[in-house]
Amino acid sequence: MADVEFALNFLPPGTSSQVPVYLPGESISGSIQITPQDALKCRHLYTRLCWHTEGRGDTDKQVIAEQDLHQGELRAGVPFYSRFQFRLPSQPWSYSGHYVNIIWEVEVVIDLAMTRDPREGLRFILAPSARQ
Amino acid sequence: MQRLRETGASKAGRGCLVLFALLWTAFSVFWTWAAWRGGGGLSALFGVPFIAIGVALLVGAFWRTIAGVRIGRPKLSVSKDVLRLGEIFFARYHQSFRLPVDILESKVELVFRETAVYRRGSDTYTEVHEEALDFFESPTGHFDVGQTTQSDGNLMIPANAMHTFAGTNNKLQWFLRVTVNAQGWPDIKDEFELTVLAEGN
Repeated sequence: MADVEFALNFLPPGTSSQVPVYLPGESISGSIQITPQDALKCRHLYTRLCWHTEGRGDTDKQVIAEQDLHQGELRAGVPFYSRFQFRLPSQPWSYSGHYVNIIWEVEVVIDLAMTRDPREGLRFILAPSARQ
Repeated sequence: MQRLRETGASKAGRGCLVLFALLWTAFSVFWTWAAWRGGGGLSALFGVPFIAIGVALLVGAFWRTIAGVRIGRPKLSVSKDVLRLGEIFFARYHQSFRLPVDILESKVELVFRETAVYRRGSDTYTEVHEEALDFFESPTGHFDVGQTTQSDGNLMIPANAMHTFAGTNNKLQWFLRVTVNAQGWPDIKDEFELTVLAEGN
């Protein structure tokens, strides 16, 4: 797999919680910095708003929204910057249970030909005020 | 008031169990008969436990029907079957009896259940974890033929609970479960699904 350094952050920076919490329907935004060690010819650079399950059961996953940030070359050692913004849906809420967990994240994926796609995810919590 | 229907999942589960039990029992009987005809008395005896297992599976599959000879299917009605977090709703339970029976315990529970399905090779496994979060009890005692009993109560979806979620492999569900413990009989349980929205009350 191509060697890529990712740096993902939510905006505004400096939230008090390690994992930021957002309300359903709220807008979520952040910044992306990608620095490949070698030059990459990426077919797409996707940022996705998605949730997936973790726990005992097989994984369920859904991509809620997707943005295609870049197509073309990423130069070796040169950071690529971009921003993302999504409107959060009303559900499903983040959940941590006995056998089932629902995890929300913003996922960045570099779509490369003939090799495994480098990816990085930035997790957050989606919950109404009563459950925070 | 809205009348709730028993969950389709429990009916489908019983259907699958019936089919499996019939196949199991039929094969066990055939194998035992073939062994006995072949003159292998001891071999035929080996098949008897398998026949017993098949019969036990059939009894389990038809248990609700067997128990229904004495205790009719419960009727459950609610003020609303689509609820919000923090909402209080009213439930009414009505039970009839077809034969004399002594009821030791009877209750209606609000249950939250996690279900996780996973596959290992060709095998499928299901893990279930549930919590009873609220309940009300129904009258107990001796009931004669044709007698009925009714009870009702207010139940509450906790404000900090989780809404209904239905993934392909993972589910978070809400049920009302009626449990009747009759003397000399295993517990009878019937379930009725509710929907809890991702909204506060």
